[in-house]
Amino acid sequence: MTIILLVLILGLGIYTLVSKDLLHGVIALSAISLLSALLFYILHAPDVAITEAAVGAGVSTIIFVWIIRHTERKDQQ
Amino acid sequence: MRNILLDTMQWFLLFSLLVCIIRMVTSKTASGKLVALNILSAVVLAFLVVRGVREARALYLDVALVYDIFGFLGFLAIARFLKDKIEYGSESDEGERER
Amino acid sequence: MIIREILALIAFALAIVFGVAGLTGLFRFPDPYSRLQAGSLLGTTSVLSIFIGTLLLAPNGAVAARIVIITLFFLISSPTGSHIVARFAWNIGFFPWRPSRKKKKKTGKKMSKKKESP
Repeated sequence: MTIILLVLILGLGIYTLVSKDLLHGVIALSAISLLSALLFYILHAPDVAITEAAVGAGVSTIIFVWIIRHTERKDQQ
Repeated sequence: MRNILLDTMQWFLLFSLLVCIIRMVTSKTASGKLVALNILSAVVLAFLVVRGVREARALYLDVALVYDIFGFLGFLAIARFLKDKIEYGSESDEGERER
Repeated sequence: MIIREILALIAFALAIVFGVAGLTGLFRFPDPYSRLQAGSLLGTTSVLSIFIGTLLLAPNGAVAARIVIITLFFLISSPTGSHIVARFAWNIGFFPWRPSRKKKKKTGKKMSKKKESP
């Protein structure tokens, strides 16, 4: 079960790097933090999962979106 | 009987999680991704609750509640940013219809 | 004890049926709006029946109370999420998908008649 989740997180990470549009990267990052909270939960660590869910899905997504709002949305290579 | 039921549900939810992520990666426009994100947090929440009942400990279900609240908060932040983006003129790839 | 497990079995079977329907709908529908409907079919209905199933299987009161709270908050957050996505897609300028009748009229006149008759 954990192997599948790790492969999914890896795939989303690669997609975040590849995607041109920054917003698609932020959405993938939010999905990564959701999945990593699930991973901690499966590995019998509920308190770590709570903090990861609170920080990853909540705060870091908001900070990334806020940054994109003030800067460019498409990154020019 | 009870454990078999809960285990099959876990595997089914894991399968639909995989499908949701494939949907999220392959969709071109941002609205397709937001739909996938919304479903992804719902499926992960169901997975947490099923596994919490499987281990039968009350602490495990607090994770699901916190997870739901903050997942919804993050989703609101993304959606609200996109709403402001429309006032400044939306990007080109947003307007085209997804084929 | 056995009755609760059978009821939970029915609830989980219902969740699987709605889940599979939602997943296929998620891929086949051409338009963000109809895809949203299929998605909320999967994201709200099957998850709700899973919650009902787990409520039946809950071992003690503490777990059952938490499940009820989670169900209530989930019923608030998931539909509003779908509503926000639909409004955002509408503001951007996505037009709902409309089947294009005109092209078939010229070429497939007989074929379309045959389709309607049986």
